[in-house]
Amino acid sequence: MSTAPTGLKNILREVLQTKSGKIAIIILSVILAMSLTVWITGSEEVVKNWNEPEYWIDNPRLAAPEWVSWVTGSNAPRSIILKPEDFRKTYSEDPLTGQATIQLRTRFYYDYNDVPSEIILKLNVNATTRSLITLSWTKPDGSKLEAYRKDVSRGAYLIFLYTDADAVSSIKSYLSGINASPDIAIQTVLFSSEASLKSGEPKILRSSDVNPPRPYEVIISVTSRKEGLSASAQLDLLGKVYGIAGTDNKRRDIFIGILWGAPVALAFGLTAALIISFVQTILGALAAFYGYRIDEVVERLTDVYLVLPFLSLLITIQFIYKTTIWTILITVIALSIFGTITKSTRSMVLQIKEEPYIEAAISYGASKARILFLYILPRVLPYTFANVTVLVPSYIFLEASLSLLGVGDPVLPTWGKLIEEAFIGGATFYGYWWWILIPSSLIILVSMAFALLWYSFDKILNPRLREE
Amino acid sequence: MSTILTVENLRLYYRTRRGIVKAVNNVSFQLERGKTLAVVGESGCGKSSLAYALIRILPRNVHEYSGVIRIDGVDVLKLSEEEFRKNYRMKKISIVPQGAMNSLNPVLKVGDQLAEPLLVHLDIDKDEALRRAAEVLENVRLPKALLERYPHELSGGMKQRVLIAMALIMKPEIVILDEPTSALDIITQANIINFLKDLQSEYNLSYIFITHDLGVASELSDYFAVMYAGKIAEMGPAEDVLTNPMHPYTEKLLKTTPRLRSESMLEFIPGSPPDLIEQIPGCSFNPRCPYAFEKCRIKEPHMIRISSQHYAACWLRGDEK
Amino acid sequence: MLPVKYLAKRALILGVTVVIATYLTVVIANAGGLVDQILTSQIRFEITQSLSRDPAFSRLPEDLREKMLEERITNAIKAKGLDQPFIIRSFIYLVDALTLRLGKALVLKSNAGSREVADIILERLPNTIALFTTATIIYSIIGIIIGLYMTRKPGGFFDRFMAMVAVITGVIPPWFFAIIFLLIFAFYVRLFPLGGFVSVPAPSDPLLFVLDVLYHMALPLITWTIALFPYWAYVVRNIVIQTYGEDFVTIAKAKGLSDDKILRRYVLRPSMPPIITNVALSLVFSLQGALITEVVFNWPGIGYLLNLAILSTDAPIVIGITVITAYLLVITVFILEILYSILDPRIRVAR
Repeated sequence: MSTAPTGLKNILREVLQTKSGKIAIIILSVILAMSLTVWITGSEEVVKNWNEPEYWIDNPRLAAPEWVSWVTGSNAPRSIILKPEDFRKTYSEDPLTGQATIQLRTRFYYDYNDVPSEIILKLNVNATTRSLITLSWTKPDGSKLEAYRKDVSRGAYLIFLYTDADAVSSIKSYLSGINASPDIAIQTVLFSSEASLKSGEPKILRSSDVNPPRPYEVIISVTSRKEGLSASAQLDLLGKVYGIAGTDNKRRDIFIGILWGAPVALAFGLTAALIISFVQTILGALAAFYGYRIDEVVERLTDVYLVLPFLSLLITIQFIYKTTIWTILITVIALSIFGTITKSTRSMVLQIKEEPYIEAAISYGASKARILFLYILPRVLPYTFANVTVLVPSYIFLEASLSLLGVGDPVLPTWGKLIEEAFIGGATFYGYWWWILIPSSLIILVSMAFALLWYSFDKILNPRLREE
Repeated sequence: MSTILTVENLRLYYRTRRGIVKAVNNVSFQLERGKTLAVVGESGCGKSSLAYALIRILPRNVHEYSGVIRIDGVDVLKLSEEEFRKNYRMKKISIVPQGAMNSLNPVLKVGDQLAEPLLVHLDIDKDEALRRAAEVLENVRLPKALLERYPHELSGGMKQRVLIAMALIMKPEIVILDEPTSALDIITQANIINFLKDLQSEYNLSYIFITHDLGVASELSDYFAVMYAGKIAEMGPAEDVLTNPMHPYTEKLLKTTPRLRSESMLEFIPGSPPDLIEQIPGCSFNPRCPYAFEKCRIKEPHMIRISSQHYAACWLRGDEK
Repeated sequence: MLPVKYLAKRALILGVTVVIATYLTVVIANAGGLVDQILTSQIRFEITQSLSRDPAFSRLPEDLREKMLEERITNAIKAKGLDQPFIIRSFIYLVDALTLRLGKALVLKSNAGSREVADIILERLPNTIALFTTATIIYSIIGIIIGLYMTRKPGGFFDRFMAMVAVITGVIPPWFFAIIFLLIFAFYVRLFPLGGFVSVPAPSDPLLFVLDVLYHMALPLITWTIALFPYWAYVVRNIVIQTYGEDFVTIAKAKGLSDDKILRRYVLRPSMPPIITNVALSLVFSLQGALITEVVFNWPGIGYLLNLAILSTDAPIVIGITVITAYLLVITVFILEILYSILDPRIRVAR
């Protein structure tokens, strides 16, 4: 006859000694560490900016994680961001015309096996009249072309070189100039050798393909009246891989989304699970202990609650009122005051109530409340905890399912939101697997951790079912 | 008087996470036809394990099950499970379990459960089986109407009597009773003891009566066996053992029974019974025995003959068998 | 045979549940006046439409037309009781909802062209029931078989392995599996269609049509089964092991019954009542999860309709689905209650 250990502390200790318990704790500590990192390193900014496209403009769209290029050996391009400070500025004046030219020069080595996904030019021009902007591009093999030419007024500009009309026309004239097909993408044009462009089979030109290796050179010229002329530029050569978890269709770093989602998921799941388990336990215990009317009422309410269309009600509420995640939490709790834990606690307490030491306590004059809290509840608590561990993942998934239907928290980047956006963005159909699998893996990891924890609890609390 | 049951060196060990439990550790005894052997001992001494070992119902985690159980001359331990099931269980040897609360299948009617063994072992039809079931219910002084009832509709006492009826329905020769009256009040208890006596004389049944209640045991038994830590400490005719206990444990046990009109202090045995996993070197009782001496701590005593049928496993009583 | 009194009591409680769920829905939906708005604008729309078709009406001068319109509308509102205080209105809506007079949809239409919410929902309902019931039957049966197999050697390798699998899949909802499976089958291994009910265009041959539907049902069914049978097996296993440890099973052995008979009469039969209870509980949960799975697979049932309604902000349908779900749950649970009372005599015979 093996006896289950009693007392919450003992049980927790035993759980932590099992193999699955240890694994669970390790996983959860990692996630917890992630969450704390985010909180400490000022995540407010992230949340505010999650829905601001401008914040993420320097990231590539739908880029796979960087480690993919190591794993597959494909040496896919990472982003090269040439900031204003990476440009050497030279200033020259033409005394005759009163015009001045600012030249911004930069260079970079390029050794990837693929062209960048996008090329974005950010330009800041301050002038009293219109200015002429040109972008000259020199490849390692020495060939040169003008990639952009435009007449602009003062201001800040965001130029997507692969769709911008002026860039396109510049490139087209270059291509016809060298007798190459005009339908080649700009990135390819800029990063392929001229010879291969002419032959119709563009081959990427790497800095290391030339001996000795030479960089690509970019010169941006801004010409205008010299009075008050100033300019700065940033050139983004966005790669095809990015970061630990890649990016989504809005260029957002999925890893940051995951980091931010972690504390939310844990907080939501834990709070919901803890409160609901405890409330249901206490109600079940009260019903069993005080009996009669209270028992009747609790039983009837539990019966009703068990058959309520919980999810549908939640969806309806969210659909109409679109509340934030914390209101969702409160609603979930309100809709779960009675449930299966009430029933099981009730039957447990009914049995415990009959035990002689309870009778003894009553006879020595202990108040009912004292008996309930000091004698009965401690016996029941380990089972409550076991329930908490199995409920946490359910509530995390509940939040995710609300998000999936589009009725979750409208603003926060929760894990559910990430998955929903991935699903709607076609990640499953177009193979952007990282977008959907990485957040999914995290949810599964956290769920597994709690499941393992629950497995240990179950093994310890119900030894009879496990005896060999 | 012929011997109906002989048990020699019966062992039942089973495995648990903490070690091997030697629940029945070399138990030997004999039972004569028409007599009652009471097996008494504290909780956890292996009595119930012995009961089920005799009818070959073993736990899932059995480690060793060996020895000789001779019923009417046949060593049933050597038979296959199928043979034993068909020819011996219920037919020759049956058991009345302890704790009637849960011993009846809640989803079957009482009548069906009573008739079941008849339908399985004999070639009769359902009506005949139910008729016999009604008959045996009468024997235990229960109304025929109970056949149609479900177990949860019966009181504890009624359930116990149904179980006795069930054990008797095939008219077996040996009936093992595992604490059949512990869950009952004194009056019902007395009634049941009386039935059992009547039934025994009427059908010449042999009983093995397992209990921790010395009073009940002394009423019904011809022979007394005292179990301690999985072994038999003392065994003999009831009179002899009760009036002239030869084993210190028996002696102490008898002193713990409160008498209705007694002035002396209630005694108790200091210490607690050993758990059946740790084997105590020498005599299992020596840590609690007031008479223990050197040999007791070293060598385990075998059964030493006191008189023609009275044995005790104690070095105080000599060296020979 | 059936314990009428007991079942009547249960039916009463279940009925109360539907009423409460519906009332809650109505009140919540209308707390911001949403339902009022929808109804009054519907009335306005209908009356304007009908009057504009009346030639006599269009010949009237402008201000007279306005007056008549407003008069008619106000009367209609009064007739429906929409000018009553909140409590009374909520009861009117409650009765309407309970009798499935769920109003008209704002945006969506049923395939037959009806705007009635009840029609739209009930049209899709059979799809949900077909998929869901089939899936439930399949995973239950597999679960019971595996669960029983687990009881052969409790603590053995298979048992422990399945228990671990059960615990892990138990916390992950089926729709989650659906997303992963879709990724595998949609993008990598193109074995199954990516969702939907039938191929486009649908085969005209009725036999081929049915086969096509089954082909589309395949992946949802597989996903559902894999997601749910392990935990179910585990539950069955626990119940059976617990029954196996009961005293009456030992007695059955002592009675000389064969293992086979013991398994059937003393282990399986007494296990049925708790198994049924568990079935009821799990059905309640999985029905709600089914709604989301439908969205993932584009299966045109109620879940898919719900998603569509949310995207089109068609409130009456969202509200209507909640009411219908409440009914579904209550009906399912009631059927199971009847089953339970047949199997457990402790309920049947009144104490």
